[in-house]
Amino acid sequence: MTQNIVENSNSSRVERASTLATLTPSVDIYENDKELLVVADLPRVTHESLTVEVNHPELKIEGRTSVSDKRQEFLYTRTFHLGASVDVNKIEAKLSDGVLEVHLPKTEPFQVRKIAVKSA
Amino acid sequence: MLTRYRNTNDAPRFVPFSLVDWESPWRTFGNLRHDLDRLFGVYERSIANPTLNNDDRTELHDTGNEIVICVDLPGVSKKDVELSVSGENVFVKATRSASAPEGYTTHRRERASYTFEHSWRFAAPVDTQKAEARLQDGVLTITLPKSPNAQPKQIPVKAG
Repeated sequence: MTQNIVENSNSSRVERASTLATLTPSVDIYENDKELLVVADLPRVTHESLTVEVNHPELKIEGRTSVSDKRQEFLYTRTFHLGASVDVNKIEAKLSDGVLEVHLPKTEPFQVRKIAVKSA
Repeated sequence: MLTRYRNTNDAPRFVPFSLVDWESPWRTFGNLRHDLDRLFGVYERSIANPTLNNDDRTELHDTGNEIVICVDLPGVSKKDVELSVSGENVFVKATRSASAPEGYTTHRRERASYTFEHSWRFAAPVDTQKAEARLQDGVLTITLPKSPNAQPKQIPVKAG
C-alpha cells in the first residue's frame, strides 16, 4: 500500500541549489479505501505563494514564505513519487492555518469495494 | 581526517561555500538542524515533554515605536491561543492537537501535537490598550506599541 506514494529525495536535493534557503516541511501521509491524504505544515506560506504541482508521477509541494513581514524568506519544498493508483485529475488541495491538505483520490480499480455475496 | 594526494587531480574537488548562502553562513546550519531535528524526531521527544520552547518558531523585532513578535504556529486555531500582556510582561500559550483523521491508516507521521509556551519581559512597559494580536497563515503576530515614555524621541539641539 505504501507504494502508492513514495518520497522523491533526489529532486529535493536539486532544489537546494536555488538561492533561497529551503526547508523541508513536516508531513503526514494517511490512506483510506478511497484516497491518500498528504498533510504538511507550511507556516507563513500564503495561498498565492503556494504551488501544488502534479507532473505524473511526481507530486511537488512548493511554498514560499510571505515577504510582508520583515522575516527571512524561505522556500518550503517536498516532492513525492505517486503510484499508478492515484487519479491525477481529481487531486484537491486546501490550505488553512498554515496547514496544507492534499487529497489524492485513487482510481476506481484501486478503490476498496465490498462485493455482495449472493446466495445460490 | 586529512588525506594527502600525490596529484592534485586525484583530490576531490572542494568547492568552498557552495551550499552556504553568503548573507548568513549560519543559516545553512539552522536548516540542517531543522532537518536533523525532524529526522531524529525532536517533535516525537516533545510528546514526553510537550512544552516546546523552540527559538526557530519565534522572531522578535523592535521597530522603535513598537515590538513585534512573530510565532510560527501551524495548525493552531484562534481558540487554542492564550495571550496576556501586562506592563512589560507578555505571555503566550498555544496548543495544537494533531491526531490522525478517522478511518485512515497512517503511513507517515512527522507532524505532532505540541504546546508552545513562552513569556517575554521587556525593558520598558508596553501600551497594553493598543496591543494587538493576529493569527494568519499559521503565524501569530503580536504587535506591542511601547508606552509613550519608552518610545524613541528626537531631541532638538539648541544653539547656545
